[in-house]
Amino acid sequence: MDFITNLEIGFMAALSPMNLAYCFLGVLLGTLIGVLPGIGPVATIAMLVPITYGLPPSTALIMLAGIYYGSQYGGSTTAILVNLPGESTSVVTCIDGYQMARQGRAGPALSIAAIGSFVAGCLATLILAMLAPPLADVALSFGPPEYTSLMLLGLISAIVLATGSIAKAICMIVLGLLLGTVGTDLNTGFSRFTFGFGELSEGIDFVVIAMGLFAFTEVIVNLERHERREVSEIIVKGLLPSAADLKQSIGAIVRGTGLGSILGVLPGGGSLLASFGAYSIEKKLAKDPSRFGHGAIEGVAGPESANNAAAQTSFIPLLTLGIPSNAVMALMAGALIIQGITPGPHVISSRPELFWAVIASMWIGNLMLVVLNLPLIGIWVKLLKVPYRLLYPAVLMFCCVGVYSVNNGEFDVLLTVLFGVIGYLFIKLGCEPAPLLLGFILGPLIEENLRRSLLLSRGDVMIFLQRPLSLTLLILAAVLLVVAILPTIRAQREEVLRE
Amino acid sequence: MRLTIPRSQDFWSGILFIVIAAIALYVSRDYPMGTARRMSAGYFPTLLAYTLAIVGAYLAVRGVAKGSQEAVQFGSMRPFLVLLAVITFALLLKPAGFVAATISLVFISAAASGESRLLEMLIAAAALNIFAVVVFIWGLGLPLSIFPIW
Repeated sequence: MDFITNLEIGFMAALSPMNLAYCFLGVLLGTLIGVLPGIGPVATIAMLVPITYGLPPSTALIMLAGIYYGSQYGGSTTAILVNLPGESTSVVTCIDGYQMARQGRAGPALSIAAIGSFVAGCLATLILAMLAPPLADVALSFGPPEYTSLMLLGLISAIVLATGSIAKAICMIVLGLLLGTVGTDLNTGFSRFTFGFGELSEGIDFVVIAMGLFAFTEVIVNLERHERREVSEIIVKGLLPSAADLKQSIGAIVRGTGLGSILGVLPGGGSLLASFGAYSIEKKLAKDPSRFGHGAIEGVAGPESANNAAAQTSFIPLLTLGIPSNAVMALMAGALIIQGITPGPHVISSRPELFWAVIASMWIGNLMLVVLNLPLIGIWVKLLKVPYRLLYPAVLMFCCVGVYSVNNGEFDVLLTVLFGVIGYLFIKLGCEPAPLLLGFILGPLIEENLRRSLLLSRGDVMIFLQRPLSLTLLILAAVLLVVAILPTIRAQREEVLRE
Repeated sequence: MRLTIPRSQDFWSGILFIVIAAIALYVSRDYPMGTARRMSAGYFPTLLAYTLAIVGAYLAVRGVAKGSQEAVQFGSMRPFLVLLAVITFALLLKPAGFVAATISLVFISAAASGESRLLEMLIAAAALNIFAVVVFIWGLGLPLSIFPIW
């Protein structure tokens, strides 16, 4: 009964003309950047965060969330029609989606991707709505030691689930934590790592790091690759999938949704891993695995459902524990902080209208996305023909305006350039930047809670092992780390990530 | 035996992390440490810097020890012109105003791709300026001056 009244409040708020308009704007932008390869949701959200300052908190969050899950829809269009992932999460969709398109079945491929995403989005939002409030209640009883252990668990699972080398992921997280200490230390008032710049006394703004490491680096790498998109003249006809198609995909959609919902909650997991995982599950379960790679519809339905489900459930850790699980959620956390709301377990109880409006908007947004993606497919195909040389100056300009308006000064823009160079180096060295952003966001929280815990225990680190909840979390973290380092599992992990 | 400089990604990323850790330790050398019970400003950063240095050293050693690995490969420096374009934009924005800064941004960054055409860039610069002035400055009210302040 509470659930229903809360949902009513949510829908009332989400259906207000202003929120509807921003929800639409969000999913439209999301689809747009999803379709266009080379512009990701992290960069887009980073560009828009400073601009959401003037909006009410729920409207801002509704729009930013729409960009994220909207990009998961759009990414599949490019994958199926051009054999290029519009987003990294659609990499596996290319395999069978493009084959389907070449066999003249682009329509069913596109529609099954959209239907799968829609079903997954709706179910995962339901999971979010049902799980988040009780989880937040549990989290309210957390003290500093539990928080410290929980965040450690979060960081370790981000390390384990990151693509590439574990040692590099550890370094990136630690570097992120270190960058998080820049600025005035709140406990002692001492300024750290400011190098004499007054602009750094409040720390580095997360928009600066996100934009430098993601947006600027992406532009440079794209220009370097000099990649040309050939949009083959694939004619999309007969959008609707046949009854046989639907029958074949339904299992894949359900399994993809399940897997995506679970992986989305884990820090560092998120959509990318979910889509890879779903593809390999479908391949293993199939009666005839040789069909995969030659246009198997399950190979589109599974991953596309999984990445969208993960995009929705990745909000759970942020809205219940205040812990962002991936780079996009780190940006959402930043957007909330700009609005004066510290993400954490109290958000659902103290700002119920915010939480439930965002939930309701996700259903509305998913519905809008089906309409945007299926009947309007022709427009998106045309957009793919816009050459990159016209796109990137616009991206740069939006980035500059976004960063500049954080503090109205050129210092942040110049600092972003520095992070652009660093981000480029990281790409060249095979270091994934996402864990760094996670460490950066969690850094101040971890330091604060670590200090408080040790103050409580008079400097005794055993406090983390004496509190049962904290102990459980630490054991989980240890198990995760050991499992990741074990040779057999490691080989499997590499195999899954490579596929 | 001749020493060859390793080219592996592991080696160089290890070196990069060690250098960053060393800088952090050097800069924070005078920060008050405090005790575990009452950590002061230097405690957490120092802990992190040592962790970074240790894992970085492991990476560097692994990069040398293991044979064939992915080598570091740099492309042409031309795409870096986009960063120059951004720097110019940042420095021009206050003295020269938004329109001039955007025009310079579009043209310098266009040089980065090497396949841009003059007419296209003129149109792009004009369109971006109109869009940004209408949406950002008039619509969202960002405090940017459109033209130079005389």
